[in-house]
Amino acid sequence: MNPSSDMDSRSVQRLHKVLRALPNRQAPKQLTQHVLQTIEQQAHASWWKHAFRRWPRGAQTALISACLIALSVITVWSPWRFSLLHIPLHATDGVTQLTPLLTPLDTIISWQSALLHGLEKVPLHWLISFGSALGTLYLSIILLASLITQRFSHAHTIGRST
Amino acid sequence: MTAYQDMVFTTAVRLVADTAEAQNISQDVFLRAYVHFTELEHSPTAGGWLKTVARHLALNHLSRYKKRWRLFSEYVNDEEAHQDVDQHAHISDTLGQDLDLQSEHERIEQALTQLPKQERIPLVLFHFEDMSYQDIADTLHCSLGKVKTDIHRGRTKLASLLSHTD
Repeated sequence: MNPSSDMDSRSVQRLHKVLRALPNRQAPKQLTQHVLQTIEQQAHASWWKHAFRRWPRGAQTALISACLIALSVITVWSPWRFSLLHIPLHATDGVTQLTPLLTPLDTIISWQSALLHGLEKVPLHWLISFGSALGTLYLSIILLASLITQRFSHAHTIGRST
Repeated sequence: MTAYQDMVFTTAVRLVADTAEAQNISQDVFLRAYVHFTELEHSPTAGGWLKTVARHLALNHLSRYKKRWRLFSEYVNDEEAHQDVDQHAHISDTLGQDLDLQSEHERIEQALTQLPKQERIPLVLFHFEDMSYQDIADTLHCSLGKVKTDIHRGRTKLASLLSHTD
């Protein structure tokens, strides 16, 4: 199909001219009102509900510091925690009657060992630190936000009662 | 905001052909503008920025149905595509110059909304947004040939719709 066969270039130019001459359509009257309402709602929302970059500087610093401290503590403690997983095999020799009960535990330990052997090439501190950092970040945000919200609501209640 | 709201709404409604959806898109555009208010407040390109964001959001909205639309569009054969379309339709010399301009404009806008989505979108991007065929093909992730064919079909249908209502 030849696109130019049915409509000549003169018609196309005329159509283009007509379309370009169309004025803008009138926006619904409630558009401005809706936008302003949404902006107002967002402005009154708690600061911790906004994006991290819009948090107060103090809160940002506090959260980052808390994460770094938690990360350091966990990194220092992680070798001690990991040593608990190395259970000597002869430890279960005298308790053969408890084997059915120990089987699930044994399975978990063997799975953990297999997993950890597979990850031997990656420095252990890195793995544990990475996992801990993610968990700590998540917990810190929730804890910090709830503490500050409680404090603000308490202050607000006192202010109203006085 | 009042200076640009009609322009933003028009950009959105011509692409999505749905007043309610266009209103939601316009609202999103102004909320984004509010976030960048300090940069846009004295910018001479604020209008262009708003128009571009409106176009992107409208196309994003439409892309939800893109796969279905592409599948449909590519399987429609020429015979079906030209059904009920007057191939000899032409644009009247007096179109857009009638005395009752407002009703004339409404008639053209109405005809635009009656076009199938796969023809209306490239046509609107070409004639209203000043995009080239290649830019439209890149934006809609389809071939250059398909864009040209769809725009041509859109023009023919638009001419047909306008000549039928003359």
